[in-house]
Amino acid sequence: MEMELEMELGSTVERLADAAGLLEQAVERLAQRHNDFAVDAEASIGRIVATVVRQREAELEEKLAAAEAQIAELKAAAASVPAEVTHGRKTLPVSMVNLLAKQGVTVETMEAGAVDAALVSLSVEQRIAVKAQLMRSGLLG
Amino acid sequence: MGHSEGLHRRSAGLAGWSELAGRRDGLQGAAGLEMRAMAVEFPVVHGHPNRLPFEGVLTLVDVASDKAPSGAKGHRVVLTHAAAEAALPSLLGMAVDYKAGWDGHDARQKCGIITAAELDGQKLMVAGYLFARDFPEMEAKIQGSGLASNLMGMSYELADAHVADMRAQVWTLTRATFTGAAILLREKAAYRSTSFRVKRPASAGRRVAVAR
Repeated sequence: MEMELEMELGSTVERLADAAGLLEQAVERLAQRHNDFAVDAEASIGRIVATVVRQREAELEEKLAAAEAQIAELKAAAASVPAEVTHGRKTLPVSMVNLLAKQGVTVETMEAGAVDAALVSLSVEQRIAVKAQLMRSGLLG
Repeated sequence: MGHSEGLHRRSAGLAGWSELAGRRDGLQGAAGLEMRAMAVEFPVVHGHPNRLPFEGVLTLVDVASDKAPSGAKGHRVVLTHAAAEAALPSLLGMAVDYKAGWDGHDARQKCGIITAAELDGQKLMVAGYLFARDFPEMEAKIQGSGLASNLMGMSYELADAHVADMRAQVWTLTRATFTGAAILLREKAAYRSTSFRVKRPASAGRRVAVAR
């Protein structure tokens, strides 16, 4: 009887020790998360201009960010498409060609840097449209 | 506008302090209010056709902006006094610009230069010159047709702003670098209490020295 009690007590102590160990680990993890959170809380912002944010502008910025994310996804997906599927076809609507030509970019000389530079003067909406069209046409890799 | 007028006036009054030009100076005000100022000294050119002095309140420090500035992801911001003071040197020599419609910045349309900056209580005041010959429409529009000077304000442009807590409702900027400023309609500025005005051409060649 006494032996059984001793065994039970030993088992309980063992379980308690395990629980204490787990608690210690949890506390360590929580402390680590707290530190990470504190680091995240402080950040540097690239550019702030003390003019009122226009609602429309904010919406368009969000759309542009979403479009750029989509472009990145499409790029990744396009990398897996065999060349024979597209047959190297690269076409662009005339309106887009004209718009780019007005900005001094020709389809033949097109490269990402030139396009970005050329699109600076366009509105955010136009930039989204042009970039999306170029991506669809396969002219912008 | 009396406060900003003081920057040029006091500058002229302290013109003999040329040895302080280009240095930061902190002085104790009569009411115990400490002010910090910096300026670059330009040589006097009487009747310079392309220098039109201006003065203005660029922003307020330790005060939350009335609206969220562009780039602050919808947060209103507070530029701390310490951050503004530390950033004063970065303000000198930066350009002022304006945008058609007077509703924002056009960093490529630089129409003037900031030559002096001063923290006066919660006001960060600046002075400098507009390129009046190069931008004749500026003076005409600000002083004349429709846009009374009391409607005009200023807006700063900051880079590398350090936000103390990104999760805070109002962002506190504890460190930043000024990269420019704009002249715009006060109602378009994130701080409604900014101001801007040009000064009489007669004082265009006046020396700008460090002031408090």
